[in-house]
Amino acid sequence: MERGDYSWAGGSEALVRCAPQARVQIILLPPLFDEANRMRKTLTSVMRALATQGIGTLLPDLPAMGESLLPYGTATLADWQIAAAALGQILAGQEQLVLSAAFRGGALIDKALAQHPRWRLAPESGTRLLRDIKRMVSLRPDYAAGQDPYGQSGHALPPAFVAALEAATPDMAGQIRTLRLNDDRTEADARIPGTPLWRRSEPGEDAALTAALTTDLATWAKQCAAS
Amino acid sequence: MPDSSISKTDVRLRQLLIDLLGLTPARAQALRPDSGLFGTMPELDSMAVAGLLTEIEDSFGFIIDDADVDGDMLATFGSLSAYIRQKINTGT
Repeated sequence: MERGDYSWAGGSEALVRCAPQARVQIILLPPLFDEANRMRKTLTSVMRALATQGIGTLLPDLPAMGESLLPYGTATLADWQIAAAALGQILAGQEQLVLSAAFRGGALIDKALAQHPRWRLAPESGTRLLRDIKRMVSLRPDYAAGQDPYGQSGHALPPAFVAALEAATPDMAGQIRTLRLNDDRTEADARIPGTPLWRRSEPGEDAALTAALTTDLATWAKQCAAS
Repeated sequence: MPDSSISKTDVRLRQLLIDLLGLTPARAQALRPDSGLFGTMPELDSMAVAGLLTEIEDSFGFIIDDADVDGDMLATFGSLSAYIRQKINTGT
């Protein structure tokens, strides 16, 4: 696994790549906020497993998330889409097949890669992502109605960003494969076994989930390569 | 209310607690209607509750009104299970 960085209009962010020479390259768009940390181990395990099947992957840190030097809350949804498009540019003209795989809130920014086949795990609207944060805060005994729930939860998010996220839903145009967990009744192309690690306080790793994600991504990538 | 409806809801709720909180199956199985949840079960802090409520929505297929979320609803395994059954039965 190689560490590197990528440039976008607002600066430079960290990136890890696996099998960068492989003919098929999947750009992974991580979940947003705390969910990104909870899924990091799973995503890197899937990257390693896909490399053994000859499939390359890129996992970026989004601006103002992860290891980014930008202060938390300073990037917008539009910035993240610009960064996603910049990732596509890295691979442009390389004779490689480019695909995207978005996890959870990552599906809110994969529109920037809509010219490529897209894959999603449990895509989520901005409203529901924000509701998780609001609920977490509203249950605390010291919370009084009317307070800014995001600041209270350690998510200092500017009101304009919150408004944009509230209105954001995953783009549905074009060729998209959507996966959800067995327990999730929301519409999907296929369901896989596993636990929703992105909602667990101490997620660890779920071997069944990692294996199911790897199998589905590898099968899908090979189908995309053959068509 | 038929017993099978209670037990089906409880089975799924136990599984959600295992998946989300990392409870051992034995601990989940030992939960009784009067077993304490929020404020009693140490794993279930406010962050875990937020994840649990959203997971209940996805798994049972209804939306939880934020006004319904309070200490009474989350007090015990039985109160949370009763809330879920009521939501399913009224279709709201």
